[in-house]
Amino acid sequence: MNNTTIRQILNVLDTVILERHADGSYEIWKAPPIWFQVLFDQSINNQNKMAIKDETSFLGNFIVDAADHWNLEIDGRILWSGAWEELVEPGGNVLLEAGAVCLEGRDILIIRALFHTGEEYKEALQSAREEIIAADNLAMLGKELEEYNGYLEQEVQKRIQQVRKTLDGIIEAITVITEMRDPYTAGHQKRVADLACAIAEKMGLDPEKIESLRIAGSLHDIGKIYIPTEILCKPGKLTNLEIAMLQAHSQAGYDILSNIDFPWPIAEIVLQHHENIDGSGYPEGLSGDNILLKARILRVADVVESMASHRPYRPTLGSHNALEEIALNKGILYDVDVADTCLQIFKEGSFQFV
Amino acid sequence: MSIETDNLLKKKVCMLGAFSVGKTSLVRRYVDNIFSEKYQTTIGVKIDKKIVEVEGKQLAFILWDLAGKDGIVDLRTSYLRGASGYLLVVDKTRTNTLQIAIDIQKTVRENLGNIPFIALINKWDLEGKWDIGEEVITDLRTKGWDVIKTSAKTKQSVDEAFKALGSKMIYQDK
Repeated sequence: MNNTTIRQILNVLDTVILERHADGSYEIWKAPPIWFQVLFDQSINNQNKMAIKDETSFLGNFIVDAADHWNLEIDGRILWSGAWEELVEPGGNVLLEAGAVCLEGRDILIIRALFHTGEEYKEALQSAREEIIAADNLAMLGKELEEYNGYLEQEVQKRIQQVRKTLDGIIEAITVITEMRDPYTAGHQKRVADLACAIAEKMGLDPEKIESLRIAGSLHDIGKIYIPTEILCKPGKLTNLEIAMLQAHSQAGYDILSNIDFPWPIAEIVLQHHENIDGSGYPEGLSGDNILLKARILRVADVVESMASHRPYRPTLGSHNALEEIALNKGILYDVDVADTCLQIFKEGSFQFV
Repeated sequence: MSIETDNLLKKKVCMLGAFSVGKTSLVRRYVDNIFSEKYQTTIGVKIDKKIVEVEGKQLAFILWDLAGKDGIVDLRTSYLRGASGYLLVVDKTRTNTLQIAIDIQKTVRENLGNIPFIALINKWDLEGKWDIGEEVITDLRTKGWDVIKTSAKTKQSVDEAFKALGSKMIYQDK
């Protein structure tokens, strides 16, 4: 292979070979391609030798590592510098890479232009990094959305609390109005609600259901607003007609409450709060599981509170008798689980009327 | 490395940081006063030069713009050889670039000792996308870092950052 062929091969490979001499100069092996002459013209002398002295330049920096490598005198092993961009006026650049190799005792420096492979590598790297940035942006967007969702969730909770507070105020007002007409039962609905909630909690009902029971308990006698005060406050025995009128309060309560769009079946619970397990209750004579669980709880709480409290037609019968009634009629009038739970919380002393 | 010829002091300065934090944009803004929105990844090393007067001296910044560190490309410590100082660039819109900067600073300290550096919290103009809070910057300053808030896009504090590093390097020589 003659020199011209070797030079052509090196040109095709965009590669320049230099040999380091003892005086520290680098002799360019064969005529270098145009790009090399353009880039390093100022460092090449008329004897085709190149000076690489400035250690702040990339080549100057690499020569330090290259010298160590040459000193090892490992024949044929190349130390590559990694790529660098050499600036070309005006505003252009060429991607280069240098290599140091020891060949038959000679220190050889290779400089190659990465015209094609460099661009391919750059494109691949850029593409990979753009994907990483896009993924980061997506993750950041997700994080922002999560934070915003958290904020919205907090706002919703705040609004719910406000609405609940308003609802509590309205319920309390209605309760007061209802009980104003029947001062002997003042506080009855609240106490029934308290006991019903205590039973429900012991039975493991979830907080939402307990909340609905509290509302139903607080309003369960709202239908009494239709009953004349004389009947509500009558100290003696009621006539059949008066009893029928009194029993109509469940339906009347349902009629009032069914117009309100509660998120729970409050009207239905109120309607069923005098139904018995054996079907002997009113107004519809429902039995067993056909009665809502919350109505069955309310039924027991209502009986216990009523018997334990003073009434116009009788003095208080006491908690003991009230609980005996529940124990006696459990499974007949009252749901077994509800009755057992009620008896248990009183036995444990975990509940008492305020 | 400091080379003084004819009253011209040459200082090698490395631009370090994670990828796409704006190292090349800061150099372009400082050297040529231009800015491009398009991200162009740097392969290996890109060397540029700017001569300025700092503290009454003619200072030639030899700027080694090193490819950003990521899972694909790591920092070649041989490139740090001879550096007189460095600018450690963090992207204010990407928190993870701060940890990478902290790791790089540790690597440089292990290899070159305590040479002057300044941390640049870059992309300050992207206010809606900020991901690094003021408290983080306060923490960095508490541990002795000089921190400058920059934007290659708006040119915010770019000249000041290089000048401040130049002053530190000259002070280090005294």
